[in-house]
Amino acid sequence: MESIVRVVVMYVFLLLVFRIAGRRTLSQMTTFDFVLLLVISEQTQQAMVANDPSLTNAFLMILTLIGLDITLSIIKQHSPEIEKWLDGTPTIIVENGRPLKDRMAKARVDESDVLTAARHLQGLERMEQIKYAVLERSGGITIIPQEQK
Amino acid sequence: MEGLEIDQDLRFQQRMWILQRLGWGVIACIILAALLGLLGPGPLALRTLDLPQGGFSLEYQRFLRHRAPTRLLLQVKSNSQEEVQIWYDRAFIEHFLVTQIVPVPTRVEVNAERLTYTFRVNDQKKPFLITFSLEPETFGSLSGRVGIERDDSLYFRQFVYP
Repeated sequence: MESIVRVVVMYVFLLLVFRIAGRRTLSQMTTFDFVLLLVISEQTQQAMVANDPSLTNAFLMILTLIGLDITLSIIKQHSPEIEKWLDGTPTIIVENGRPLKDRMAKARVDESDVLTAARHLQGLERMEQIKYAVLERSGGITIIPQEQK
Repeated sequence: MEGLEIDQDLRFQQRMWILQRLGWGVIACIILAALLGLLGPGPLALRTLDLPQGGFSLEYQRFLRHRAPTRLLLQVKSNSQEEVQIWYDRAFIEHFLVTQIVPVPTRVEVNAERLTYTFRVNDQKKPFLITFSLEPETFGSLSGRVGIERDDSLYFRQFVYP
């Protein structure tokens, strides 16, 4: 029973911490973010396994994590309000070629991030070719190009 | 045929979705069983046994896990004697790695069937508490005997999950 409680507490804690840290933290995956992820996962595993190396414990922990995941997804499906709190909402950061600077500053996104996404997703060359750039809930940036004339 | 060139099989998918929901039910049951203390140590798996004539009791976990630490708590009335002896039947105790015994026994004796621990009693008026810290090294059903004196003993069973 103790291992299940420990897993649930760990999950909720990580959910809160990453929610507070903000979107960009996980989506950029620079070397630093990668190292952060490695160290965090090691700590999480240590706390959850504790001193019980049995197969049963491993199975139970995995089932509990999957169960939590499924439960949250069902809750989110039934309550858009809760989904907003858990996942956040998308935000427009560039409109008609004009970067919305105060939003970008708050979200810690700069213009080169937007241009990188534009090249990556749409093969665009310049900011003026972007109709909308959206910071999605996942922390990634999606691009809607200006219509071709 | 017009439309999207795709491998869709809606009837199959519907069945898959039903199976998936059933699977979720199974997962929920397993987690509930674990929370109730059926799949390992926990407050609800804790059991206590007493000798009918009193003077000896054992507290143990009904469900254990392979190589996960557990404890046996023994309480003995010393009856104004300076020493107290506890024995286990060897078939049981040899499935375990004994990591710690509190207090430390003064003597350990082995014969064909039993492992006997002797302890010195400091305060003969209070019940004497002994804690054995163990790790099961096997899995499956285990049954054991723990006793005092010659033959007064308690029989108990534990199940070790792999």
